[in-house]
Amino acid sequence: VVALSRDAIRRAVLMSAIGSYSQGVFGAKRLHKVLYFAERESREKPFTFVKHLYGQWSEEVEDTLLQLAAAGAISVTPLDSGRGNSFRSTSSQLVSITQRVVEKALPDFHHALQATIRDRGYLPEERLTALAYELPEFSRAGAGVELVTGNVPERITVDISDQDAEDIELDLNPVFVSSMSKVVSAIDSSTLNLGRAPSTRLD
Amino acid sequence: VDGCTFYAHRICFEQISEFIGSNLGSGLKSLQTQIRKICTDPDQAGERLKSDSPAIQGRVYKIWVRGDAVSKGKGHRLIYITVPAQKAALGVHFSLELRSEFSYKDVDWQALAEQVVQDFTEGRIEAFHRIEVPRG
Repeated sequence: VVALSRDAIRRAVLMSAIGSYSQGVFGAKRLHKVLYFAERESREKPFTFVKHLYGQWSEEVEDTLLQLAAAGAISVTPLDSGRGNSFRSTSSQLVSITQRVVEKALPDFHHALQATIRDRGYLPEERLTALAYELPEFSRAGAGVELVTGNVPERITVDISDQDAEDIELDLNPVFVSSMSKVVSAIDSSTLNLGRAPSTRLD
Repeated sequence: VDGCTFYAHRICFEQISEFIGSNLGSGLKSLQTQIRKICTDPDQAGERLKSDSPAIQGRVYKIWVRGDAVSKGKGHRLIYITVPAQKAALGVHFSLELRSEFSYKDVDWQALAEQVVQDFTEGRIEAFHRIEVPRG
């Protein structure tokens, strides 16, 4: 049993959702809608959603997408249409791990997400958007009003292996990845000859 | 990198020294074994970070250091980076606590990176330690 931070859980949720699409997710709008539908049908709600110009929208989803891109866990490619981006996971191993973690940490949400992706995740965008706009709470709400409030605690105890926790906490951690990137870059641009370093014998 | 020398940045070296101070038995043996493995083949010894960040270039690894009383999937973590141009691997972090007893969230990775980068940039060779281990 391991304690994971809410940020780590959110990264796992997005990675798991994006990884459920074999060709990646076409458009952030689709991703927001799919996550919203799943949260609406689940007791567990990893993200807060508001009524935005583009419909149901979550700042936390946007932030988490940027974190995953910074960690190199997803690739972001402009769509041919010139409107928006496609998001694709870069590691099938990380997708499997995150799906296992989300299933254990947020079982209700995991099942709702898988059902949403299966039933509505591949609808044409116009149809998906129309379904989202038809929801009664959406038509009733004014701009900027919170439609769903995230309810995942800051730390959550999950029955997963230390190894899975390790992958979620480190490999998907944008601060770690960007920090190590700086070290790799410094090593490569340095003329320091490590062979001149003092020796220590470990015994 | 096929066969290399293991170095530790001073922060990692201090962590290793502290670890040895209180783990002279099987803990030290495990650390020696893992460093030997890294020196033999750093790309096979540890697990490569699964993130596919181009800036990392697949050069960041983590490896378990255990002792007699530590089971599989637990233990201390040594994080190292390969330096192919110098046939070397550089240890940058060693966890003094067992993995199950700490969170990576509590490690200040940015501060650690700044120290290592600064030592490289300013050419401080004394900030790095070549680690030698007896033959197994």
